[in-house]
Amino acid sequence: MKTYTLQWTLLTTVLGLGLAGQAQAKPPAGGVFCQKYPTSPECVGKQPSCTYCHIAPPQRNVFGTMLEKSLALGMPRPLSDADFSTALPSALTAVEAQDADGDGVSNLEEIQRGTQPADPSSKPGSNACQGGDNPQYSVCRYDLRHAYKKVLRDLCGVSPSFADVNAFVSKASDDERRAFIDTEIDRCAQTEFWRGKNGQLWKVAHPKIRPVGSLKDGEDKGGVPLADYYDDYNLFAYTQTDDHDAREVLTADFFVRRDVNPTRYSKVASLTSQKVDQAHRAGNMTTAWSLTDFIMFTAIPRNAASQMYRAYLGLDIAKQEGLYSVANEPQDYDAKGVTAKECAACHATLDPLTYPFRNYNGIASSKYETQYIPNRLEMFFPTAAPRITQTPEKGVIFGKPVNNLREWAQVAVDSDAFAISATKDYWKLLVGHAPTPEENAEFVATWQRFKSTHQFRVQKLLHDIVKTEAYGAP
Amino acid sequence: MRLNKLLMCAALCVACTDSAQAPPDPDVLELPATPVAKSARGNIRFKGPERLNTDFATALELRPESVCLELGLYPCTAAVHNVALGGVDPYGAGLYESPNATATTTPIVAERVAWTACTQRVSADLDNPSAAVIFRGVPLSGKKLGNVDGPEVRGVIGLLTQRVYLRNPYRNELERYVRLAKDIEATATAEPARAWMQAVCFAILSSAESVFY
Repeated sequence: MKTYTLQWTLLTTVLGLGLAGQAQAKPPAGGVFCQKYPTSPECVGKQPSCTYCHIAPPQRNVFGTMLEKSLALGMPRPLSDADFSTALPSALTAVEAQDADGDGVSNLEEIQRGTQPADPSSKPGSNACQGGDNPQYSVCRYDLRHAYKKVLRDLCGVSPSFADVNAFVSKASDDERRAFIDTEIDRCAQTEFWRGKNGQLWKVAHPKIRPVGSLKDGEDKGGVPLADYYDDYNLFAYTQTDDHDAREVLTADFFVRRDVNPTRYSKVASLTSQKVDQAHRAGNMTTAWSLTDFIMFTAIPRNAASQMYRAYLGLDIAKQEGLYSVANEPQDYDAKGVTAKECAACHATLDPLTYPFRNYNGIASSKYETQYIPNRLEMFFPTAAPRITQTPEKGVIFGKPVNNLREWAQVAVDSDAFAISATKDYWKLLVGHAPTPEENAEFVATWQRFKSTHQFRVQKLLHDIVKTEAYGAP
Repeated sequence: MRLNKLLMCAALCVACTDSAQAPPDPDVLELPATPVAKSARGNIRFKGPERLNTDFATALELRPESVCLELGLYPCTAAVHNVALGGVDPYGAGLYESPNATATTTPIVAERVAWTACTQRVSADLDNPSAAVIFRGVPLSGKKLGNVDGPEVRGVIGLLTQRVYLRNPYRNELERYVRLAKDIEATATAEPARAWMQAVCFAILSSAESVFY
C-alpha cells in the first residue's frame, strides 16, 4: 500500500492488539482516541503519546484519572485491550465538558486545539490582532520587511544593511519583494553559515549524530580515534541541500565527501573510513560512527534503534512516543528481563524495532570492524543468553514487518513521522520554537507539502516555512 | 580634461583634511501619539554567538575575528563565551542543542562583546580621523566634543541607528544621546568625547533591539 499512513498502521495495530489481548499497558489508546477525534492536532500524522493520560504507565495524570472514573464502570480490572478499546470512546465523551487540569478550558476544547488536557500551563492561546498602529512592524499580518530581515539573519547569519532594507522596501510591489526573498533564501542556502562545517545544517544534525570529540577519527582526531563522524555530517548536509532527497539520510547506499573553500558535498561510492558493504548500507544508521557509538559492544542494540527512531522520526520511546506494540513481543532473546510488566509496554515496540540491527557490528577487534557480519550474534555472543541466537533479523516498524534494516529505513522514510520530524527540525530552526497549537494548521500544511509536492526537498521546505504567518508575522 | 582636473583637485582636497566627512544629519522618526500596536505572537529571538559577532563586525566595520578576543587571543563568541551566548558544544561537552532561553550570564557576555567592539571602533576612529568609519567629522575641542548640539553629533547617532537598528533614529533617541554627551561632560571625566562615543555605541549595540530579532 503506497499511501501508507500512520493512522492505517495504527488501525491495524489496534485490531492486532485487540486479538492478542496480552499487553499490560494500553497502546491501543492512541489509535482509539484518534478514531474518535481524527481532526485533533494530536492525530494529524501522529498519535498522542502515553503521557497524554499517564505520568508513566500505569500511573495516570489528572486527565487519565478523570477518564478512568468513566471507563467501563463495573467491569473487572485489568481490562482486556478489546474491552478497553470498546469502552474508551464513551469515557472520553463523558469527560469532554470537564476541565481536568483546571486551566479554565474544557477537555474537549483542549483536544480539539491540540493542547494538553492534563497540563494547566498548556492551553489554547491567541494570535488575534489587538489593533492599533505600529510604524515599524505590521504586527497583525505577514510583514515582508520583517521576513526579509529574518531570512538574512536565519539563513545567511547576518543582518541586511540599512541600504539593503531601503532597497527592499522600495521595490515596486509585494510580488517583487516576495520574489526577492525567494532569491535570497536560495543565495543564503549556499553560504558557509548554512551548509559549511559547523554551520546551521550541522547544528540540526548534532542531536542525531551525537558526536564525541575524544573518539573522533580523521580530521580533528581525538585521543581515542574510533570513527569519523564527519562522514555522517557530510551525508546529512548533502541530503538537505540543493535538489537532493532528504530521505537518503536513512536510505543512502553511498557516502559523501566534503570539499572546502567553498564547502561542497559530493557522492562517492566508498570511503576508507567506512566499512559496511553497499548491500547493507542504510544511510546514517550504518555509518562507522553510528555502529561504534550506538551499538558498541551490545548484542541486541536497542540503543541504536531507539536513537534512530528519536533522531529521524521524532519519536522518543523513553517518553512513550511512537509505541506500536507487536503481538507476542517482547521475546527477550537476550534475557534482560524486558517482559516485566513495567518494561513490556515499550519493549513490545522497541525490541522488534531493534532486531534488524542484529548483524551490524559495533566495537570489536580490528578484524571485525564496524560492518555487517552475517551470524554476528552466533559468532560473538553465542553464550550471552540461552535464546540469543534465535533473535531474528526480521523486525517490525510502525506495525509493518520488515526483513532487514534497509527495509526498515524505507518504511521509516515513507512515513508521516519522517516528514513531520524533518519539518519540525527546520521549523524550530527558523521560527524559533516547535509548532504551537495556534500554528498547527500551517505546520501540517507545510509537512504535507514537503512529503508530497516537494518530495522531501529541504530547500523547498525552507521557502514554505518562510511563507508561513508563524515565520513572517511579527 | 577639465573635469578630470577638477576631480583630481577634489580628491586632493579631501585627502588634505584631517577628518572624514561627518555623516549627514539623519531623517528623524517621530513616535506615534498613541501606544504602538503590540505583537500577539511576541516571537523574539536572541541573535546568538555567530549573528551577534557578525552583526557587530558589520555595523562597526571590524574584522569578524577581532570583534572580541579574551586575553587578546581567544574569540569571545566562537569559543570562550559561546555557550553563554546560546551556542552549542557538541564535540566536547556533548551540548548538542541550544537552550531555548538566555542564561544568567548572557547579558553580561553580550555587553562584554559590545563594549569591546565599541572601544575598538572609537579608538580606531580617534587615532586615524581621516579614515574614521563611525565617529567621523565630529569637531573636537581638546578632549571634548566641539559642539554637542551640532549636526555632526546627530549624524553619528543616526549612522549608528541605521547600521544597528536598520532604521533612522527616533527623536527621543537623538535627544537622549545628545543629553548623554552633556551628562558625561558634567562628570569631569578626562576624555569626555571618547567616553561619549564609547557610551553611545555601547548603548545602541547592547540594546534589546540590537541583540534580539
